[in-house]
Amino acid sequence: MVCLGKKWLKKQSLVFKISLSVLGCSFLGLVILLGIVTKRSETIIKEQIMEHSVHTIKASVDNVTHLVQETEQAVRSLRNTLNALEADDVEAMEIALISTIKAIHTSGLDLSHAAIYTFPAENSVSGMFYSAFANDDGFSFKSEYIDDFGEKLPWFNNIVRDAKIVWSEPYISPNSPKQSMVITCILPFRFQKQSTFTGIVSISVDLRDIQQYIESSPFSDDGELVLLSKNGLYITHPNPEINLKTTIYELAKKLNNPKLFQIGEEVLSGKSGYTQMPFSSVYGAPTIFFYAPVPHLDWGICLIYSQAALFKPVYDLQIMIIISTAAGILILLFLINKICHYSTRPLQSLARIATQYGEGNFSELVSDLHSDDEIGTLSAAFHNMRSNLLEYIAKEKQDATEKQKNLSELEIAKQIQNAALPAVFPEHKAFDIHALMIPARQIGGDFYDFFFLNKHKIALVMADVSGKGISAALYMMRAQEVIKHTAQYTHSVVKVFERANNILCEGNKACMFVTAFFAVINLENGEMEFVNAGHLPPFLIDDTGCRKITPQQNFVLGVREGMAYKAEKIKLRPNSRIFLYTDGITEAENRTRDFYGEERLYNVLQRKQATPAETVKDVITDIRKFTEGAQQSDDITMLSFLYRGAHSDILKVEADVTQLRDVLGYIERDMAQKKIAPEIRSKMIVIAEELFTNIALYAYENGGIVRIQTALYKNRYSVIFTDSGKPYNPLERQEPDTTQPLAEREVGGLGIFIARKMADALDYTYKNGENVLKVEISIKKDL
Amino acid sequence: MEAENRTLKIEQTKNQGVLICRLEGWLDPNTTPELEQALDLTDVEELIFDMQNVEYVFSAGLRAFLFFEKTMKAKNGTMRLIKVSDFVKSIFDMVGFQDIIEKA
Repeated sequence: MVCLGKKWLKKQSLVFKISLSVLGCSFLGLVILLGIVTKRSETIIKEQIMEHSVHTIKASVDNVTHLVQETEQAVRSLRNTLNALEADDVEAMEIALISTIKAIHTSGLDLSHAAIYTFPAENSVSGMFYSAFANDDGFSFKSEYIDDFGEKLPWFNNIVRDAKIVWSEPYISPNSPKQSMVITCILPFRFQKQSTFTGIVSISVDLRDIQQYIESSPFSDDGELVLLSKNGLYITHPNPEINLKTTIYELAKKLNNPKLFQIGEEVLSGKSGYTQMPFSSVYGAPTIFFYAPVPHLDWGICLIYSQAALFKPVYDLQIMIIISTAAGILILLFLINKICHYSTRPLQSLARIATQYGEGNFSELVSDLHSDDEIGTLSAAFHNMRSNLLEYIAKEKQDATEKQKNLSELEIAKQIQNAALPAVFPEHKAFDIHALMIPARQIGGDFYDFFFLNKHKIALVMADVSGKGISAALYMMRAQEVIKHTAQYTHSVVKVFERANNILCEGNKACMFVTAFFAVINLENGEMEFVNAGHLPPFLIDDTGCRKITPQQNFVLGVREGMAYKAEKIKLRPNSRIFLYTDGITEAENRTRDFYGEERLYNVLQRKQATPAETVKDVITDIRKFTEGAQQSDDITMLSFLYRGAHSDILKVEADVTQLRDVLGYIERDMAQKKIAPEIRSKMIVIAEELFTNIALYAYENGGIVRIQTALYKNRYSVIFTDSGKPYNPLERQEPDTTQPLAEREVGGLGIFIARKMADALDYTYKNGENVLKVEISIKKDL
Repeated sequence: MEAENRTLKIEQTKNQGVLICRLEGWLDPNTTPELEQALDLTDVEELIFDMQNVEYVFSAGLRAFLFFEKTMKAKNGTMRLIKVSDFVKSIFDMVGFQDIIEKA
């Protein structure tokens, strides 16, 4: 519950919370105030009531006592008068009675009457009863015989014995003209010279007179006065059903109210006091009872206040306090609401602005910057936050743009670098070339290059810039350009490197350097001049085998200015291959961190007579096989160059039999130039005719080109036919059965059969979308 | 001279059912159809090819000779090649056509 309450409270607005607090505090204050006021008021009122009631009761008791004393005085006076009379002096008795009545009437007991009763004579039951009372015409007197008077008045005997004034209990007087309730004060008398009492005198007081007395008492309307007779009979009770009909004890029993019973007992045994009563027959509501005894009569008098009436001023005060406090609280709440709204309006505005800022809308500025309170501080903080955010966002945007730019620039750099490396490998009768660079990162520091210095001279470059990444790549671009550019002005490899070194040393604060191998090959005579600046020596593969060229090492480029470089020269025989590479190959690592090594490279290179493209493919395949997918740690760069020889030639013709004469003529001329014996030449002509015819007839559906390339290598003359037609291996054609009689032979298949018979080697491969058919023939006559 | 050799010259001499055909040049896929069209074999009982000036015989030529031989055999005629060079002869030998070459 508490938890729920807390949650609920959290959801409410600040204004609501403040209002709730104020309301709570005010309510608490009100309750305390009311408590104090009520308590205090009650005390004061009780004190006042006590005082008042004591006074009232005393006055009432005094009134009644006065009445009683007056009556008793009148009774004594009447007795004294009778005591002085002769017996049976009726006239005198009448005069005495009348005067007594007159006397008590003057004291206010209008309804009372006086009486004399003379006991009956001996042997008689009838006594003489004389009575006098007031009526409308004045006073009347009557005398009558009454039988068995003593039996009618049970207390009669007691009176006679004690000779004292006795007050009767209230009863309905048969003598009273109105049959009203009376109490009678009785005293015995004896006529003159009588030894025993001859009768009694009495004055009956009508209770209505007493009631009048009581009512004339000086007490307010706040309470009711109730008289109790000696036996507890209600004498003055506002309820006529109870009045003179019920005793307090009976009522207590009937109402099941022991407290009332107790009051009765106490007050009639002469005690006074007060008590609170939850219920009263008078008011039917909580009441306060004050009670005191009435002496002489042994009566009791009760003053009953209705608590509600008594404390009405307190209740009125409470209501007034509640109303005025409630009004005050309402006004307070209204003011709090206004103040809070006024105070939190900047907060709401800040909240709205913060939301806008959150959505990226910074157009609205924070107002209320100049107030000195907490709101002002917060506003200032908001303002600062806005400018900081704007600054931050602008910076972030710029950073993001730069990052994007860097990424794309890296990509562009890669493209530029790739574009800088020659990717198109020219077809040339004297050489074939192929190269590959696989950067370890996106951009590398290795490069290869080749370019013509003139019609007969080609330059090869293989270099490795120290370091990796963008800086290496930048330096690599520069180095490549410097070497290529320098080489345009001098064909001396030494001078090229010396100049390139000096240029690369300039402003090389990062102390980067390049290891480089540079070679210039004369295609006419196969002379290769080269200089090596700290680079790995290349492999040379020719008819004598595969070996490393071990040139004199020179210092790397780009570090020491003015370095002298030394060049070397070798002569390439036709069909020699040069393999240039960087340490990314030999230092390629597998998963167990072993190096690929020179030996593996050597084994791949010397394995077979391959074209440069094949060589590159073989090497990279072998490296991949070795590294088994381990991450490449360094750039892998290689260049394979095949020197065919000066007179190696290539012919491109339409794949059509009408080209046959040109093709055969070309091959015949080539063989003649190469001084091949005529009988060998004839054989090759026949073979070439068959092979070309075959290609012309079957390779293309709609025509195409055939490349014919001849070479002389190790006493073997070879012709290679290359076409890009549909893959077709003519060597797979079934050989014709040459033992069958001619007439039964199938036509066709003869050409390939002949070629195969005549050639010393005939080889078909399909690669890079091309059919490559290579035929070799030995040029030695004795073969 | 070479250029001339690239074409085929056909010289026919017909004498009482004997057709002597003197060939000069190459018998390749371009020239062989010329030969096949040029020869009229009606009434020819014996067909003789003079191969003295034939430098090369390629498979197309071989097939032509095969065709002529079949044709002649069909009409009970004969066909033979004379004055075949050693090189050409070696080609014929190679494919088992040696029996149509006149034994020297």
